Amino acid sequence: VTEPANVLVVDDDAVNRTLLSHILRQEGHSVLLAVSGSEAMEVLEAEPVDLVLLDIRMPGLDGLAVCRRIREDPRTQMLPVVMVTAEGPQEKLTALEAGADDFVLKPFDRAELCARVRSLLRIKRFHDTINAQSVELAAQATELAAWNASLERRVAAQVAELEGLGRLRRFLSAPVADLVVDSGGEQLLEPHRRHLAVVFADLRGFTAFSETAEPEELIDVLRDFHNALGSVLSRAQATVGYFAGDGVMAFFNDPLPCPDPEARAVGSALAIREAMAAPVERWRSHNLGLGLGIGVAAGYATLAMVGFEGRFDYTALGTVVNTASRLCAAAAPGQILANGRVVAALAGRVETESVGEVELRGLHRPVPVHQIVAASDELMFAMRGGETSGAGR
Amino acid sequence: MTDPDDSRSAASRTSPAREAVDALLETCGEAAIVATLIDTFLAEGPLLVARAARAVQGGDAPEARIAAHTLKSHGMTFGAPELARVAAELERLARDGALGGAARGLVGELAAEYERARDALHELREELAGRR
Repeated sequence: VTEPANVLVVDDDAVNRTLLSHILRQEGHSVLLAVSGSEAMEVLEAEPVDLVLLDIRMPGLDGLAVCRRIREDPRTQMLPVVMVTAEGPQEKLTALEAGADDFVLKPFDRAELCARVRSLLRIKRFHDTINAQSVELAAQATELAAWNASLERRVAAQVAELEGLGRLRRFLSAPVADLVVDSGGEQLLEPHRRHLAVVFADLRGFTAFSETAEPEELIDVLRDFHNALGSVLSRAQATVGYFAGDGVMAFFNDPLPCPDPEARAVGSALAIREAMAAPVERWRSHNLGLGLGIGVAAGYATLAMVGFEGRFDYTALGTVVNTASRLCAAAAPGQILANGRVVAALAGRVETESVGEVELRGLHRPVPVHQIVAASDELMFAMRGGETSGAGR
Repeated sequence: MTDPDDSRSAASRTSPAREAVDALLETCGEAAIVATLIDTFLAEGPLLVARAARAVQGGDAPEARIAAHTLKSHGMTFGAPELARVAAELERLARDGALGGAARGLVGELAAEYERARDALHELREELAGRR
């Protein structure tokens, strides 16, 4: 069974047109008729044609010329053309050279004509299928390219987010940085005021030491100090507000609120002192003239990004920061000094000794200052990363 | 119906014209279509002969060639081998541009052969009409 097709019959002879169109219609095809070569070209321009039956000998534009034009036009390059002639086999070569796909002789043998038409239509359908598939493939490629572009945009957005995270990690411990990103990003870093507990830790005698020490010694000292600070502050989920070679300022309760910030601050101070005990002992035995001083204060501060394009830091500003800084400066090597608010918040959980009212530089009146001696196991538990042994003495 | 015993009739049982019409009947499967084909031949034939004659006289070789070509084709289709032969000869002369005395002689033969073919097909055409 042949699938119906649109067949164009081109013949100047009415007898042949009638005969061919009758046979083709009986085969189930739709037949278009043209009485001349030029009319055939018009039909091809206007109608979808699946196959052409083309008489060779016609006045004006003959079948050979029509066939050449069909082959020259990219739209009809693959259109099957069957040449029809009464001339016999000698014209076959001319027809094939003009681009005909096949050849039938007049008078027609119906079975042969139908077989040739069927076979060419099968090839045409195969070709059309391949064409349709390549069009589909091209469409899929376009779609894929669009997906890729959208994927690239999403990756770019994620990279930007990661860069933001990378920036946050510079002054936030990793878990806090993740939390900040997860809980809405950097709007948490907009300027605001909050109650903080602030820790300052600083190497005593570092300036004098650095003037005389060998670079290797200097590096070793800083490495010990930084290792201790890094592990303790990260575990305590501190925000690092300021970091210099020989000193650090960290605070608690911002940008993400945490329970019991004073406990974390004091716990961190004790843990740093504990972690530094061995290096400090080594420095003393080498007479390096180095020691560790720590100040802890609680109070309200303003928090904001400060700095300039390309180098913004998130930090705390205010009296509580100055107080912690001055307490740190006032602390003797190995000493942890705290203000009254810290001690009040930790009543019963820390062992303290009053140092009395101390005049701190930059503050217009003396403040009561306490020395932290030790803290309860419970308070120190988190600071040691889950170890239960010993108080922070 | 013609007398089947008239052996001189071009449409007798064994004539080439009858064989051609039988072949067309087999090809088309419908007598009505074959009748239409014969009608077309009968209508166009005199016009084609006249076109050929006019073209030979006027020295229009392409026109003479096409008219002769179509008559040749009709001769082959409708079982008129002499019509086909004479038309083919004229077509060949016209292709070579030789529209002289030989071509003129062929025009006369062409008219005569067409008339013989016409008579035969006329009878067969009436037979077909009778079959319906």
